[in-house]
Amino acid sequence: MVRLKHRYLLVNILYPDPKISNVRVISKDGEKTPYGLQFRQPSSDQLNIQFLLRTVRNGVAELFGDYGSGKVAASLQIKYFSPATSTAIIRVSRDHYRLVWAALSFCTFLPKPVSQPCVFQVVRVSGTIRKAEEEAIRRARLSIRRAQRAAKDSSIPAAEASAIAGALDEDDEDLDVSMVNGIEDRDQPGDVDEDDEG
Amino acid sequence: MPPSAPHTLKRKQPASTPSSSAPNKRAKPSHHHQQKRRDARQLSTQTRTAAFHHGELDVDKYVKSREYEIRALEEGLQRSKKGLNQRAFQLVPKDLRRRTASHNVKRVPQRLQERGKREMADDKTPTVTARRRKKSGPMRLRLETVRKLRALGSSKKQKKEDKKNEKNDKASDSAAKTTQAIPTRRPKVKPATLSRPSTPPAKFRKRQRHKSWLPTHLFHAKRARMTIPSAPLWRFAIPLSPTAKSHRPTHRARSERGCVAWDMSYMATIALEGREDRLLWALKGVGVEEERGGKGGKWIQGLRTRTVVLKACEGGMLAPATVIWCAPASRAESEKGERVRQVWIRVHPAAFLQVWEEVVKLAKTARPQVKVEDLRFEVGSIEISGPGATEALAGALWAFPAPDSNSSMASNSGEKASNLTAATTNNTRPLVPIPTALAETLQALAPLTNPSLLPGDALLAFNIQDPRLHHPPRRRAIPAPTAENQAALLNLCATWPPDIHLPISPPQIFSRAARQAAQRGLRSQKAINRRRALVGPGEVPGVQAGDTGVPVLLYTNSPNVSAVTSSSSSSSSSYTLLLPPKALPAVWYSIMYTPLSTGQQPRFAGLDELRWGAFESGGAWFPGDFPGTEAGWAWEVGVRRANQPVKPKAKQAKEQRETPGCAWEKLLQPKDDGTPGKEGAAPRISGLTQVPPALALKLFPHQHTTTKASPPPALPPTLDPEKALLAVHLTLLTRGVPNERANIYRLPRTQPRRDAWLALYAASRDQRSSRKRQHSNPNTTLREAKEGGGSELPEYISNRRLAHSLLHPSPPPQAGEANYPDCPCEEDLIGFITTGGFSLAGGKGRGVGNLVLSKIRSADGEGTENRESARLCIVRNIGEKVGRLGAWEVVGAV
Repeated sequence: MVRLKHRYLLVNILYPDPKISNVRVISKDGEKTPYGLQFRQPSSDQLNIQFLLRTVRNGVAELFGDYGSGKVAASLQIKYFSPATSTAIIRVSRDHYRLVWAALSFCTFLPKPVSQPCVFQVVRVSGTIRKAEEEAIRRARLSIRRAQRAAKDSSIPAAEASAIAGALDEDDEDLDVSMVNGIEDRDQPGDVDEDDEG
Repeated sequence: MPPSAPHTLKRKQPASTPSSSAPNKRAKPSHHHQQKRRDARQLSTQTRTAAFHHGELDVDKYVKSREYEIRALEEGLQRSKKGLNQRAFQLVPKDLRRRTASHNVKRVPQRLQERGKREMADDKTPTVTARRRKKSGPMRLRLETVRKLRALGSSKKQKKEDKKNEKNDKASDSAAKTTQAIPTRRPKVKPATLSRPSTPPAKFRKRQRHKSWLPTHLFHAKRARMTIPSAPLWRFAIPLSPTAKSHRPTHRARSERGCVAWDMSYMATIALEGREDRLLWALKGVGVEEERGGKGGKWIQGLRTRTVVLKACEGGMLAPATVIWCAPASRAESEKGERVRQVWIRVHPAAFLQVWEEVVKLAKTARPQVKVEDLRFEVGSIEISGPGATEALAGALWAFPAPDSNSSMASNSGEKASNLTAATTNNTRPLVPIPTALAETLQALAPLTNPSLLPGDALLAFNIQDPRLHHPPRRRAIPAPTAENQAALLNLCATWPPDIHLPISPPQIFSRAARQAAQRGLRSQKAINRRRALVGPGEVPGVQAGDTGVPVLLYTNSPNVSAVTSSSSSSSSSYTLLLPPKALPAVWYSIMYTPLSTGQQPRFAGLDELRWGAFESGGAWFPGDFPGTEAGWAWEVGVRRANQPVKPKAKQAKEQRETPGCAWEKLLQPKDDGTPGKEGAAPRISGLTQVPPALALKLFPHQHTTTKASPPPALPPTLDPEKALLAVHLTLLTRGVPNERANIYRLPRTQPRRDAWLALYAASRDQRSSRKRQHSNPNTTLREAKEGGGSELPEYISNRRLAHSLLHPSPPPQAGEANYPDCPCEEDLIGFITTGGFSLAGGKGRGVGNLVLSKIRSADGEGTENRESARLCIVRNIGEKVGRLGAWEVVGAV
C-alpha cells in the first residue's frame, strides 16, 4: 500500500519592525526589557489559522503558479498556530514541502487586516508531528531561560547585555539534534509518518 | 484547527447523504472514534489578548505565554497516544488474539464486548450471517408452509402418542405395583484386555472416532497447534506447540524462572496386581532388576518411584518407563513377598502395545497369576517443570481434610481462607517444622526452586479438594527467605518426613473404586458457583459433607544424567501429577492461573517443547531419538512420510533427492542398493536394536566424570554391534548448527585427511583456550609473551611479535577456505542426527544423534591418549558440502 508521507514545518514568526507593534513593551522599575522579547512578540488577533493558510497559499501561487498551488493544495494544513507565541506547525506532503518553505521565506509582509512586516523562520522540518512538537517545546524552554537570564543581567550592566541577548538569537546553545539547515532527516525512502488521515 | 481532510475510510458515513448537507432523521451517523481522534489531536492555544492584558508585554507575561504553550504541547503529545484508533479486539492480550473472526464481538473477552459492539455499530460492520437473516420473497412463503406442515405433523404425532399411553397405562397399572428398584450390577473388569476410551459426549463423538482427546483438549485446541485430524499421534490429538511465539520464553521458564506444564494424559499406565514376589518376577522379565535395601527398598515400599528402561525378553530396548509400587497397608516386613500388592508401569504410548504384550505374556505364566489391567484412560497426568513448579503446585492443590478430622473440617477451611486474606500482609509466616500430613509437606516445600533438591524420585500421595472451589487461585504466602526458613526447608528435603514420621496408607489413586467415586463426586459447575456465591466475594467455600476428595499422586522425575551440561541449571527436574482424568481439567486450569511469586503464570507447552527440553538438558527424547527401538522406528517412518518431497524426483534439486529421513538402510545394509524403501513403506531392518542408555554409559563413560578406567563390559549376546544404535549428544566445536537428519562421520582413516581434521581440532581448541585466557586476564598473555621470547631477542622485535600475535592470532581455517578439510566419504558414515539445532542453554549448535555401535568401537580401539580424538566426529547437514567438527558423548539417561 502506498502511504502518504508528510513533512511538518515548525515555523516562528518574527516581527523585526519595532515601530509597528502588537503590544506595548513595558519594563518594571527601570529594568530594560530584552530586545528578544520585542523581536518575537505575539501576533495580532487578526492573524489566525485561516489567514495564515491563505497567506501561504497565495505565496505559493505567486512563486510557483497554478502548478505549485495545485501540488500543495491537497496536503497543506496548519496543524498548530499559537498567536501568543507566534509559533506554527504546517503540514505539507513530503514531495512539495520546499515550495511551501520557499513561499514562507519570501513572505516579508503580512497583508491587510494585519499589515505588518514579518519574517517566517522555519526552524525545523520533521517527518512526524511528534518531533515537531517536541522541538517546539524545547525551543520554548530555551527562550524562557534566555529571557529570564537577560532580564536578570540587564538590571546590572544595562544596554549591552540586552543587545547581546537579542543578537545572539536562539541558536544552538544546547542544540543536540543532528540537523542540516534545520532539516532533521532529509528525504529518504522508508521514512515513517504518524499522521495519514489525509 | 482547519477542517480535517476528507475521510476516505470505508463505511464511515454514507457517501450519498453527507451529514452536513442533508441531516438524516432516522439515525444520525455517530462518529464516535473520529470525534475522539480529532479531539485527541487538537492543541489548545492562547490568543494575544488572553495572554497579554491591555497589550502589555513584559518578561513575566512572556514566560507565562511560553509555559502555556509547553503545557499545551505536552498534553497534546500525551493525548495523541490515546487517540490512536484501536479496536476492541486489538486490546486482547497477545496470547488470546485470534486470526479468524477476530472482529466477532462474541469472541473477545467479556469486558471488551460492549466496546466491540459499539465499534461495530459505528462501522456498520455486517454482523448478521446469511443463516439468520430475515428471509424475504418466495423463501419466506416456503418457510411459512414448512412451519405450518410441521405444526400439523406434531399435533398428529401427539394424538398418536396419547392414544398409545392410554393403552399402556391400563396394562401397566397392575404390574407397576410389584416392581422395585433393581440393584445395578457392578461392572466387571476383564483382566488383560485393552480398555477403550469412555464414550465422548455426542457433540464431540464424531471428531474422536479414530483418536481420543486429552482431558484439556478444549484448552489446548484454542491455544496450540494440534496434530492434524487425519494424522493423530499415538491415537491422541496432542498439542504440538503453542500458537504464540514461545521457543525462548518456554526455555526461560523451564530453566530460569517460571514453570511450564504439559498435559501428559496420553502416557499409558499398566497396573499389575498380585503377590509381591510374583510381581517382582514379572518386572524382572521386562528388565526391571530387583533392588533391596536403600533406595530399592523404599521403591518396593512405595515411597519412591523408579525410572527404568524396559527390555524385551530378546534383550532389545523397549522403552523408558516409570514403575510405582502401591504402598502396603502396613509397613510390617513379616509377610513380605506373600501379600497382594499393586504396581504401576507408566510408559510412552508409542511403546505401549509392545510393553503390554510382554507384560501380559509374563503375567499369564506367573503362578499364582498376576492380574494385568490397562489404565490408559483411567489415569491422567500433568507434567510441570521449572523453578516455579513447586510453588505452582502448592498454590493449585488444596489438601482434602482427612476423614477422621471431620470435626475440624470447617474450622480448618476457615483458617485457610483467613490465611489467604492475610497472605499479602503477613508473609513471614513461620515454616511448619515437621508436616503432619503429606499434603502439608507440599505446602512446606512451596519456596523450593529446584525439585532435584528433594530425595530422588520422591513421591507424595494425598487427596485434594476440587480446585474450582478455590478458583481463581490466589498467591499463597511464601515464607520470607530468612536463614531459619532456608534451614528448615533444607532440613525438610534432607529428612523427608514422609519416609519416617507420617503414617503410610495405600494411596487412594491405586483403587479403582476411589478413582471412580472421585470422578462421580465432582460437583457441577453450577453447584460450585452457588456455593461460591453463598460465602460471598473473596471468601473460599469450605468442604461440605458429601464432598469427595480427588486422589492424586505426585512424584519428581530425577534430572537427566546430562552428557554436556554437567552443572547447568537447565537440567532441573520436573514433577508428574497423576489424577483421575475427569478431575484433570479443573486442576489444569487452577495450575494455569496460579500467580507465581516471580510475577508470571505457569506456561503451557506442547510436544515440540517437551522434545526440545530434553535436548537442552542433554538428554534424549523417546521415541524420536531412539530409532533402534520399534517405537522409534515408527516415529522415523512418520518423519519420512511428513518430509516426503512434493515435487517428482526428476525435478528436485540434487540435495533434495537425499532421503527424507535418516538413511539408516544405507548405513546398516550396505549390501543393498542403498535406496530406502518406497514412500511410506519402510520395513524395519531386521535385528536393529538400541543400546540401553545405562549400558552405553558403561561402554563409553563421560569424559568429564574422570572415573577410573574399568574394562568395558561385554556386550550381551543378543546385541549385534553391526545393527545396534547408540544415542549420543554432540556439540559442535567450531561454528555451525547441526540440523535434523544431518550425517555424522568419523574422522577419515586415510592419513593426510585425518591429520587435517586433527589440526583443525587443535587449532580450534587453542583458540578457545586463548580466548578464555584473554577474557580472564589479558595481562597474563602479555607477560607470558614477554618472558618467553624476551631473553634472546631485542625488545622491539619481541614487542612487535607480541603485538602481531595479539592482533592476528592465526585463526583456524574457516569453512569455504581452501585449506578447510574436506568432508569424509560415505565409508566413514557412522550415524545421523535425530534432533539438532542451536542450543539456547549452550549458546552453540548441538544435536542428539544415533551412531552404529560397531563403527565407533573400531574407532575407539586406539590408545588412551587418543581417547579424546576418538570422540570426535564430523557433521554434515543435508544439502551442504561443509563438514563441521563435533565431539559426542553418550546419552546416559532418558
